[in-house]
Amino acid sequence: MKNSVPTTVLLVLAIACGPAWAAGPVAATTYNWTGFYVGLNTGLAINDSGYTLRPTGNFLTDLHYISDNPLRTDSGNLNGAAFTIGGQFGYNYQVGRYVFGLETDFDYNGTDNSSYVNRPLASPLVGNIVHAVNQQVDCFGTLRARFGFTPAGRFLIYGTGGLAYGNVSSSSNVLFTSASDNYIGSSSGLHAGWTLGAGGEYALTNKWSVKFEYLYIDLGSQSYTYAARPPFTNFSYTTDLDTTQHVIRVGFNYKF
Amino acid sequence: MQKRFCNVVRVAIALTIFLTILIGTRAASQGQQTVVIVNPEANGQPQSLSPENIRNATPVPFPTLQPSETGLQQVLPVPESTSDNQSPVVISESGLPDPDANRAAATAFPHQWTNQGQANAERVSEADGIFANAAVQAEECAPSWGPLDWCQHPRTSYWGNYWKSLQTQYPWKAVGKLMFRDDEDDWHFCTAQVITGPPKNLIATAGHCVYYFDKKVYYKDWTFIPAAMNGNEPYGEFKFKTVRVLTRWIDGGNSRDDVALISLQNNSKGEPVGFYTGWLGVQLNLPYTQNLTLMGYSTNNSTNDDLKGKWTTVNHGQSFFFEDDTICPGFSGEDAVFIGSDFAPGSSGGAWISQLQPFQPSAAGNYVVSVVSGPLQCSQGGVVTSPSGIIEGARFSDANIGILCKAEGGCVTPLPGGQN
Repeated sequence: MKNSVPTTVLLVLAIACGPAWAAGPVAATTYNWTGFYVGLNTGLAINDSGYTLRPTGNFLTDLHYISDNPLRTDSGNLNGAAFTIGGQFGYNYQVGRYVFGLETDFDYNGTDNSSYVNRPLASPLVGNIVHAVNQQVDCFGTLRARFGFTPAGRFLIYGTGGLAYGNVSSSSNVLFTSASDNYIGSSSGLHAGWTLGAGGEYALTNKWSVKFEYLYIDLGSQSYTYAARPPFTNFSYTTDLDTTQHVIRVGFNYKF
Repeated sequence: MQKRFCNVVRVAIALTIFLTILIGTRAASQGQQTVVIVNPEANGQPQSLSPENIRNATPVPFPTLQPSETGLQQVLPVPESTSDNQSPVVISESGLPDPDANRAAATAFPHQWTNQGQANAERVSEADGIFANAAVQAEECAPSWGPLDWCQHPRTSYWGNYWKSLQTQYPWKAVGKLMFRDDEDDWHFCTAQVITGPPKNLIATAGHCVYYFDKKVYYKDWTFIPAAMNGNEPYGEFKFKTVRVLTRWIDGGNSRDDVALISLQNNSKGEPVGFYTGWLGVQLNLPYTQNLTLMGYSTNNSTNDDLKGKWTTVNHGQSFFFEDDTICPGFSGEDAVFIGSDFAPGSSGGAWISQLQPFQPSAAGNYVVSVVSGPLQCSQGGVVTSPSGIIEGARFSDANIGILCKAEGGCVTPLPGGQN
């Protein structure tokens, strides 16, 4: 699903812009998008993240364990929707019916999703594996190029893409019921990735415009390793967390 | 007349109730193979022993032979074979301590680690040199000497955790001093060893370190001090959570039943004992003739009374058994095993270790197969004799420690990651 999203975005852009490109430059519209702008946005951040929990440490070096490691490896998804609000600042430059721009934004993000699994281990392992993974995205920002087309009057449709970054926190707790060995760890930090999206913007007046935008944000992978409590401290677990989100938002811009 | 009749009825009813309770209690106790004592303060903050408690503690006396109605112990038949009547079974594998255990202990108990050198530096007299690192060779047996003479059962003997190089190293540090009080609140000590890691945190010792058969009383307030050396406690103290002993030991006092399991609380830093010490394995039904290593806080380690039993003594020897029960009439019979050893009181409960693996990166081997019960005792015609230089212990089997482990829900230390 994650791979299909950018493809979808490109497809939308191709459909939207294709006829215009094919038609070639036409006369300038009555509204000119050129200029700096600043604005606010709000919307939903739909979490589409995934994780893998895998044994590390002595699990990988002690021959007694190695062959059974696939049985104690788990993957899962972190899904949910959260409120997002923030602001953006950018510059547009219009040439004919084409608009080129650069925009940066920074948003609060309320993503806080967890996954909980309690399942019996397959033979020859015994007992259950219980794990919980939590992910929080506190905020994110982007620095994007915009390439747009004005199909009619004050309406602009555009595609956008560039750098994305965000503060991602995660915690993991893995427990095996047979020995009560418990692996607990967390990680928090700024992570950078990429974003791709599309949107439409309508100039309400010569100064104010309203926009609707979709962004696919991939903040990359983060891995963190954590050991068990004594006496199993040479045994550890690693969480590989892939943070991806779909952001759908509306906003207002003021051109100056 | 009517009043007297009513009194008779009342007495009869009371007597009936009393007898019912008595019979019921007896029946219930007969159904139990073990007796467990639970520490009422199991969740309380552990309180350390005072240095005086440790310094002045006396070794628990070895148990004495208990004559039965026939003038002998309750003797089991001598096994037909001393080597292959049962297959050896490992019921618990040994485990290494945490690699950072000593560093963590030095951080947790800095005073103990600073004093470690001082404790070792407290020199003993030159006369003690003979105990320190001596290979005690058997004298040549004279033709007239019999199978009970110790020359038949040579062993080597040397100090154990007196040496800094051994005190805080596995497997030596899995052995420690077991402190406890008697009914007059006097402190005594035995030897015990860690046999499981968490969550069970079990140590094995002798039954007579739990229940004083001669006086028919239980000891109390058991505290385990691993690697204890002349007042030095590098890993702190571990209070008991539960103590479990065989009902047969309480009823019969035979050396084959002289074993107990004690589960420990974590120390004052919240760590389980196995984190610091690792643990020894447990093997059942080992053939009676084996090369074994014994460890214990034997009080014949020094000529200085102040240093007796302050560190472990190690004996190497070969265990044996009497196939002919006329050699030592009245000995316990099956599941009692012997070895040439000069161990004295204080070594009670000390491990008999098979496949000792010193300084190995792996914990494989290091199986406890018996614990020190006391000197071999023979009884004939009401006369008890105790040949010098031979120690007796319960040969671990399903009939002694196996019962205790079963009652504890097993003596296995679970492996991480759901490993079976």
